[in-house]
Amino acid sequence: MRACELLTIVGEVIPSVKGFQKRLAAQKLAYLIERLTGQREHHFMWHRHGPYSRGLAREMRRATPCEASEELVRIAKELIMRFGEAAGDPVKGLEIAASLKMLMEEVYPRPEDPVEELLRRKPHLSREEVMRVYSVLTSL
Amino acid sequence: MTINRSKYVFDELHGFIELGPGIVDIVDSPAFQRLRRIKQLAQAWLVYPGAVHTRFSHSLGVMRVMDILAARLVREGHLSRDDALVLRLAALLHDIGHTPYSHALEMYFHNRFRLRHEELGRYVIENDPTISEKIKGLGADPREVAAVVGGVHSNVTLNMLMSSDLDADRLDYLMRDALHTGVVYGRIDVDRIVNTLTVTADGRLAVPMKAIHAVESFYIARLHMYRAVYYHKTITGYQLLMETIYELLANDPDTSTLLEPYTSPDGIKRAIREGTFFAWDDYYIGGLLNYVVSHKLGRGELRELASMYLNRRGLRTVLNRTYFTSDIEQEAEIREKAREIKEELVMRGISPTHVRVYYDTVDILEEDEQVLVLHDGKEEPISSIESSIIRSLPKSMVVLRVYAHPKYAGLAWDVVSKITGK
Repeated sequence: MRACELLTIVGEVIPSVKGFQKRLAAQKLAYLIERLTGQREHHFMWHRHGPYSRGLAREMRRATPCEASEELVRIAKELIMRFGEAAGDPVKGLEIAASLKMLMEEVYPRPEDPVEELLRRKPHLSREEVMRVYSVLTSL
Repeated sequence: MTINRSKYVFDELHGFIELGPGIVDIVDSPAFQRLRRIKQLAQAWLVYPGAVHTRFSHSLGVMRVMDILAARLVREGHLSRDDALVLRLAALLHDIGHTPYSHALEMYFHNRFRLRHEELGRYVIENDPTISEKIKGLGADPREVAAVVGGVHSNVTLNMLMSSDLDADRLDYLMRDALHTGVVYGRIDVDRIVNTLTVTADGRLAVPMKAIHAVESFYIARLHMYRAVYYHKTITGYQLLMETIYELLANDPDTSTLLEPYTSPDGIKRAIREGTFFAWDDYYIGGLLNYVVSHKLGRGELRELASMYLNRRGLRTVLNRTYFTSDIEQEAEIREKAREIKEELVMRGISPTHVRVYYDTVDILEEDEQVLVLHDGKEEPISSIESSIIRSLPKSMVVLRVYAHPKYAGLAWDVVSKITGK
């Protein structure tokens, strides 16, 4: 999975996002795909906005337009659509899903309730949207 | 009977560093003593003879810097005393999983297995028979210490203090490396930074406006160190040579058994669990090169490269370009040149063992992770401050090089001339 493929997919599926929001969406998408497919290519740290890979950020800054593989497009579109529907906004949906996934599986000390922990960290999110994303995530 | 003993170590950078009870036991453990036998800058001493300092002194130094930072943040109410202890241990142990020959072998394991030293470090902290017990004895949780080293602690601030643009690790290594190489323009005003650094409401690191000069100086010093030391053409050449040698050692039936179990992530982790990891150091690898050469083991190519390394008769630099740029398209052009050169070498049947194309980019400023400056009641990334000289710095340093075995230098030169037109 190349950085340029992620940016191409985010650009096509969510054309309204630019700059930082676009990079943020691509970061969260990459994290979810890597964890869901088991292909760990990047090292992700726990940051203010959830999972963040410095290596991927560097690759994205240098990415030139490229075509994404059909398989990657299929997986990415499905994730963006399902989490986007659950949160009412695709970027927010990806951010919530990736953050919950990392809280559930990698962050330590592990929170007893990842939903409550995320709400505590990001008070601007509503309980309903986080719960809906959580429900989609645990059904995958 | 347990004796609560403290020790003081005299450090060339920070003066006396106190190792309190429990910390002494960790420092005395075989896995930590191993760091005395891993040079911080691996091949740099082949260019700067004084650069023979080790990951041992650097680890103590990072702990010292972190102690100062943490004490300040505890006083300000941003961290608890328990957080400070976890940070202290993480700082001390952040390099515990480093490969011998530092980045040369790290490149080998990363390129083949996606294995990073932080992952091994976390594994040591949680599984080394001595270290994990000593951490527990201090009242801390090894998994929590490992989480900070891996950047996945639930408290974002702890992760940032250990790994970000302005973290305790970089503050120590820049000063230490500048001191030992003699690169005077690599020095920084670390006192100013550690005594003014604070945390924003959402856990990010920030400095007040009055410390902006110290942070600017840090970025500029780092830039000088990249150029003069970390990406020095000769040093990078020896890193590549060592990476090739390790690959040949690991894949030659005459030598691979001598390298076991340090040829795969599983083998290394087994050594960690069994408490034998301490043996994997610079001496082990350096000694193996001597042994291979003197006992005529392995293929002739391996012996020849090992002799070249030991006698400092390294690869020839056929092409050496360094660019400072903020232009992504220019970067793409340089990357394309690297790709074309590689392709042409493959077409002519020249093996990467004989000719290596080296392309790397370094971010001078991490765009999404910049240090924040507290300015007019707001938190602003340093590059947004109108009066900051950081705005004038290029965004990236791009390095393109071609290194060749002396016998293949002519061929490599032909390829480079054809692609670059020079």
